[in-house]
Amino acid sequence: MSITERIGGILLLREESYKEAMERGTIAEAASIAAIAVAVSAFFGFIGLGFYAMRSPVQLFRRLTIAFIPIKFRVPIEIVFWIGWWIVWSLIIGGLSITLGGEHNIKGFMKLTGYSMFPHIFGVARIIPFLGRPIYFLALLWSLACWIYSTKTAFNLRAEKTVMVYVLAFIILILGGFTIMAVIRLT
Amino acid sequence: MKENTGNINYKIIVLAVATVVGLSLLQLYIANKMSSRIPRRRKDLPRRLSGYTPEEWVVRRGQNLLIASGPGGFVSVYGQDVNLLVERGIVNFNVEGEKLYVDVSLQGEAQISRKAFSRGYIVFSILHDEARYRLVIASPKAGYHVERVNGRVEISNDYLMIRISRG
Repeated sequence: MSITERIGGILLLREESYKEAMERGTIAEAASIAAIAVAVSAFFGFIGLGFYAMRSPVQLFRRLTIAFIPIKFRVPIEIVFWIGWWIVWSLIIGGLSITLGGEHNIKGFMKLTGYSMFPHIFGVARIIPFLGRPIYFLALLWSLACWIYSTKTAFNLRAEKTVMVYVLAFIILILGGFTIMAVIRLT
Repeated sequence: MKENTGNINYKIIVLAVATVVGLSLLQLYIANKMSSRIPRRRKDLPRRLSGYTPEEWVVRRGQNLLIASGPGGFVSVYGQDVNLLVERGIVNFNVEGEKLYVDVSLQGEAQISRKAFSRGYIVFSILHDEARYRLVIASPKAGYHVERVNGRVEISNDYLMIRISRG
């Protein structure tokens, strides 16, 4: 199975593609796929931001300072964020899945989730004013669907346990977010 | 689960590294190009602009900024991108060659909403070689000189920016 077939199968949630990717894929390859998708998305997101703001330099300046992300490093920061997200989130989901009785297969899971990051490439739509961001949001949901299917396949979990893993993971995410915000306010 | 670790696809890794590095550098280049149009730090501004009295700040024009003279009057400000229009024929306000940008959104200290400001008026007094300005927020309901606001004008070779500082 070629890499494009594998990615296509994973995007279409085909079980045989997931199994094949776990057997024959490598983490380096999955990470590369994730990095390419995220980098392309981030770059077009940056260009789209420019189109939004370029009508006036002052508007652009304001937008960039509000966004909290230094403009010059927007793309690398977005790449690092998503790759970090992939690693940390894989470990959290993996840990929860194993705790809830899943097989010990973090490595296989990380391969699958790396490929599951591919829908991020539809972030290129962010170059389109107004419509681009909703399209990107849908792509993120698509990626989430691939992640959920990856969890189910890699850890051999039943559907309800997979859902439970994600509910717990999102609770952790929200609590973590609140904690970070509280720390930022205190400091 | 058996792994095929010996079959690492180096092409895709090289492609990923090239994409990440290439696109990061490209956006850095574009950002540098764009940011050269944006005022960054106070020290980047011409030296003459550092001294001013709160109510009136005399600003020498930048080379590319030509403001047609007139004794003073109203310039209306509206819209998100803020166009300046000559109104009532009192003032001739014009920037040749370059657009004039007025930032009504940097209003952290201004306590004036964008909407209020967009209905308001900036009053410019233009002297022969310098632009003196007073900033007046006017409400159509209450007449024109309702509230006087001190502001700050930053001017460089290719932009002029007004910041409201305090009501």
